[in-house]
Amino acid sequence: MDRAQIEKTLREIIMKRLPALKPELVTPEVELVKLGVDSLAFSWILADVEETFGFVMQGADIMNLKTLASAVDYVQKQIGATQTRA
Amino acid sequence: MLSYARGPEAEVRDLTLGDLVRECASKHPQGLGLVSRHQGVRLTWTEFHDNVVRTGAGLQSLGLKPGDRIGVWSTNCAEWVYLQFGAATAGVILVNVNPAYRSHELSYVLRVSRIKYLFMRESDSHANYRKILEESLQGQDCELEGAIYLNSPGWDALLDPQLPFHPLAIDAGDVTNIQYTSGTTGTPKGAMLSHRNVVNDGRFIAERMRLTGADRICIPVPLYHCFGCVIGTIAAVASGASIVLPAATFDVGATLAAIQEESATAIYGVPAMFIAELNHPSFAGTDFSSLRTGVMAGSPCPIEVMKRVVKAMHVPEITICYGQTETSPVTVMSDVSDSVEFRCSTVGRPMPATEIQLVDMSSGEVMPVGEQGELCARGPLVMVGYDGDPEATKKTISPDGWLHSGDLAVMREDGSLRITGRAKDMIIRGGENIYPAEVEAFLLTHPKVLDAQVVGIPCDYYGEDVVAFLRLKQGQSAEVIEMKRYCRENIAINKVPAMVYFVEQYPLTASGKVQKFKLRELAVRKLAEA
Repeated sequence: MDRAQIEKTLREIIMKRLPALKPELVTPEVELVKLGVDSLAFSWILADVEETFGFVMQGADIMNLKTLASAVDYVQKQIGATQTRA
Repeated sequence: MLSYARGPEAEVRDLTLGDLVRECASKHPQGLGLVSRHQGVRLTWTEFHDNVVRTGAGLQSLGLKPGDRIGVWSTNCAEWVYLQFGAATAGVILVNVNPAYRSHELSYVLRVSRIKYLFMRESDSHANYRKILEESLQGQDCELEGAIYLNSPGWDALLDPQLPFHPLAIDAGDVTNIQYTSGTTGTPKGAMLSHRNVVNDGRFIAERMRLTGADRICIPVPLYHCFGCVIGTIAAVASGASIVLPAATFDVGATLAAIQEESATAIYGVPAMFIAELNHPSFAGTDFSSLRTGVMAGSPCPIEVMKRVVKAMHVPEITICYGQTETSPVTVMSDVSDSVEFRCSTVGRPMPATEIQLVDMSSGEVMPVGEQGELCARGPLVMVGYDGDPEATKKTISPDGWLHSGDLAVMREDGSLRITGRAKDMIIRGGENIYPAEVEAFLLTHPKVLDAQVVGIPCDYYGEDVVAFLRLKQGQSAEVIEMKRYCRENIAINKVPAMVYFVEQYPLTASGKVQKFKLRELAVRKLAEA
């Protein structure tokens, strides 16, 4: 999965959990908390990331999901690591 | 309706432990009193009483006076029980020293408990206790005058029948025992228990279980813990039921053999012990038909385990006890006549002459029935106080006598109680209170899960997050994502463990309680490594 596909999937996850959010507001550098992602929504987003991309997130990894861009970086690294292990 | 309940009215007897054992020997002179299987000891109550008096005489011959302290630092054995009752007859205070203690902990206890003599073994398969004692005495001042090794000439000399025993006037309100609280929550404190405290708790426990001189109690739990030395030995002496010690330490095979070969009618254990017994290769071939009752206590009892114990282990009248060292220990207990459903869903009702109320932890107001609050107890079972720590005593026992347990519970309209967690174990995740007991109970519903422990760990985003440590059933394997998915599909998302670890066993105290703080530390370390 390339970077563009990862970003597209993450956008879909965020929109699924915040259906009232306008898609154009989800820019790569905006902090997700400023978009109204509260702790409950974050929990769901983490769950979706795990299920969709097939790796287990450590609790501390939450901080990697600060913005869409950092989330993409993180997922790309995790997928790469998972593929390497396989 | 408020969460306040009082146990049935009952006579609170002002007996000492010496009075109790004398009474027992008088009522059941030829009844089987004490069996220590690993030592080949079998004594009638008369013989047991004689050994108790000789032990008391021996302690007096050492120059020990009422109020002096001795320590017993040993795994289960007949001598432990002689010392428990023998010290009491001489007015000497018995300090229980955890046999798992090593030099760091032993130094602390020797210093704060002021014991004059330490009764111990030189060594066993677990440790060289002589060496540990030598290490713990290095560079420190304490009141210890000597150590006497059990099963040695020094011990034999103490039991010389020629030594005179000088009867003393001992008050039931005098302290007879100091027990240190378990290591699950922090620095040990010595709870001082009086004769009145432990004699009456033993009596009430025996009555709830309908124990008589025809009963035989298999006690695999450690004697140093109140489960062994009050719920076990004192309830036995109070009723005439035989004390059966299967082994020096918990041994599943020895316990199952003791149940069968001694025709035990009662079996004690913490949930972890029952789980081990239910899963032991010898379980299927063991005859449990003599069992009638018993006690499951020490930590929250998984419903599924309880149901298996009732059915597969033939313990239809198993009881649940709740309490703590500071309340002698049992303040709430089910009755043998309670339904299985009742025993599975509550820890029972208040003990006789004991009041229970649930309070709001911030305001102290009594909670309405059905709402969670801190369990507080008042009555003859509440300890005298913490040894040498009036500040800690004041924080735990209010001026009007209510002992604050630190445990959370919900009271039903019938006065029965359900323990919902320990206040100190509560996890605050994103501003939401999460109770590990609730998540653990859910995880146990997964068909692959044998046991579950949940702890909270620091989290930069949530403040704290939830982590689970799971033991799987034999032959099972599972993935982390599988467990998380099971949780997500069935419980609130904020309770889903951020991480799941699979382990073979949990770090336990000597009394079988899971050391959650060690699991917490392990989780933090694993996350840092990841």
